[in-house]
Amino acid sequence: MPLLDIRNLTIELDTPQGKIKAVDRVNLSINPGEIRGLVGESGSGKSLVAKAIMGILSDRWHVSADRLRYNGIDLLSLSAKERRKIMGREIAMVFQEPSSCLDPNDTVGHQLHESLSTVDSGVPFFQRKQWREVRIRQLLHKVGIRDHQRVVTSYPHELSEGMCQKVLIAMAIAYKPRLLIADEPTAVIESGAQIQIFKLFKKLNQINDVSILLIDHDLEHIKNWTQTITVMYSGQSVESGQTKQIFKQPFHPYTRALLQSMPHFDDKLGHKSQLNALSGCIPTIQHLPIGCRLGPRCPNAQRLCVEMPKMQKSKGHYFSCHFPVSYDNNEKNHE
Amino acid sequence: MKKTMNNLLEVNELTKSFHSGYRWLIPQYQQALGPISFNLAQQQTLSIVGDAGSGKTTLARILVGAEVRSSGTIILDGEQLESKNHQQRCRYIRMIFQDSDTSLNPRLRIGNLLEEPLRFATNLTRKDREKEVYNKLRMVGLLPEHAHFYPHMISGGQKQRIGVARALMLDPHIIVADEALSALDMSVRSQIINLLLKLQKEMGLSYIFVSHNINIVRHISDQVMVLDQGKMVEFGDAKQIFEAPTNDYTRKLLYNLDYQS
Repeated sequence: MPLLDIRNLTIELDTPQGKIKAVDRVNLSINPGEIRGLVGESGSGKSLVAKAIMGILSDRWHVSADRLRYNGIDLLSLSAKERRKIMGREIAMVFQEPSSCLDPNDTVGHQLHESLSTVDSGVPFFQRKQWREVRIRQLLHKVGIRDHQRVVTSYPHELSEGMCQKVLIAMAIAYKPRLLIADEPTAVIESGAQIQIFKLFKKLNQINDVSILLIDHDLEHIKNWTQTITVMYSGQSVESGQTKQIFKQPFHPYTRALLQSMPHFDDKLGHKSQLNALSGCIPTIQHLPIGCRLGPRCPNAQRLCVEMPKMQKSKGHYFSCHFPVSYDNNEKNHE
Repeated sequence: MKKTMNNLLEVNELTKSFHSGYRWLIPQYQQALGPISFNLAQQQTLSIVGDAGSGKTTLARILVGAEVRSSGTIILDGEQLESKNHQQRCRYIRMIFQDSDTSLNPRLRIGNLLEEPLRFATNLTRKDREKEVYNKLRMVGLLPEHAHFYPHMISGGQKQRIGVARALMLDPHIIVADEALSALDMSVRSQIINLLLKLQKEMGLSYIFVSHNINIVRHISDQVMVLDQGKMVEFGDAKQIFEAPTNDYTRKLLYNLDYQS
């Protein structure tokens, strides 16, 4: 049974012009001990999905789903209090824009103390403070902060953005959650330390059996660190399956365009030659096309594409497209 | 002109020091960059790679004149570039900024925004300026109508195109792009790369590219400079450096790359 099972998740936004479906029938499932990547460009609704899982979207958003289950519990039918219990302990999240997620009035050390639970740790009460201090030191070392002394006593504004992000990651893994949702965890971290963070996630996954939902806009990060991925475009999930399989043979034109837009993935590409790029730009939320939202940009769109294509399955590889492409017969369509 | 064809830009012993306080009332300086020397030929791309804090942004800013160098000479087209002479500098070396959202004035229409450098640096009439703006808009794949739009009305990719158009405005020889691609989404990024490559071919532009994305650097650059804590640790032909890096630091950067992708 999957740890997290989402079927037809729809998130709507109230606007003066009526309701807009920001996320349109997205399916996602995470098995225990799996690292799943969620890829998509900005505005594709990745963060919305993550926040809907955590249940921290504001009242302006309406979440509905055929199924939103965590470990067999239906999350949507829980009361706010019950949901809160699951939120911190079982599901942890690393947010984007780390410096705005930390309390500016409080030292980082104090916030780390708060995030560590000692009630059910079995430590006698007079040793708890020391126990927490040791734990905090370990956690900070784990995420790659060497001078813990300075970090613990400083306020968030005194630290760099990358440092704040590392502190947030430390907080998220402090509880040893079963599911970790990491929303662009390395966007503000310098490239050398990015690998360290990904390695940490991998280690957590292997040793503590943590399932991870890794959200990133860059396929380059996702490729090596995930087993399965889901690709989103403009609020719709276009393709999902094994990472290796999708990288080898994408069926959806959008996934293919993403793969080809990176110089690295096509070694035959000549130096300084034109890259394959989709024309046009990502639709804004007010002007979403009907049917398949890639329609206006898609190279092989046809009249049928104004209807939303059904999810199709082939060997554990899901995609939703009327006219799937196979990698072999693609002709290079230069812009 | 003939002689300078192979060396458009020549930088010698460029350094930058920052004032770091006083000790016994004697001002103390900390050298943040250099000494750096390199040449750049026409229609070539030089990429500057390095970690955060390695001084790559400082170098780019010195080249465009946004920051004053401490010592060293910059020779463009056989002519000395003076630190203070902005009129001269802004015509030949122009910049594309990282964040297109914040680098465009939200209170100006795109037409006025693009017209500004022409107003300040040339004696063109209003008609000519308008024509030039339309011209450049077309060049970057937008329509003349976009001149009447405000920056918030267009998408992120189009904004970056405006950034490119603004850099092209005075027909420069060199364009400096400081992380111009890293804030863009993937599909838009490849569009902009294509645009830059096309413009280079058509107009014979040289680029100085500051980036941390090694894949893109490998694709577009002819020469690569690796900076580590302000020192130039490796400089040379891109292909050579990527195939056989001689420096440990470079190797580490490339090793990171192997993990990433």
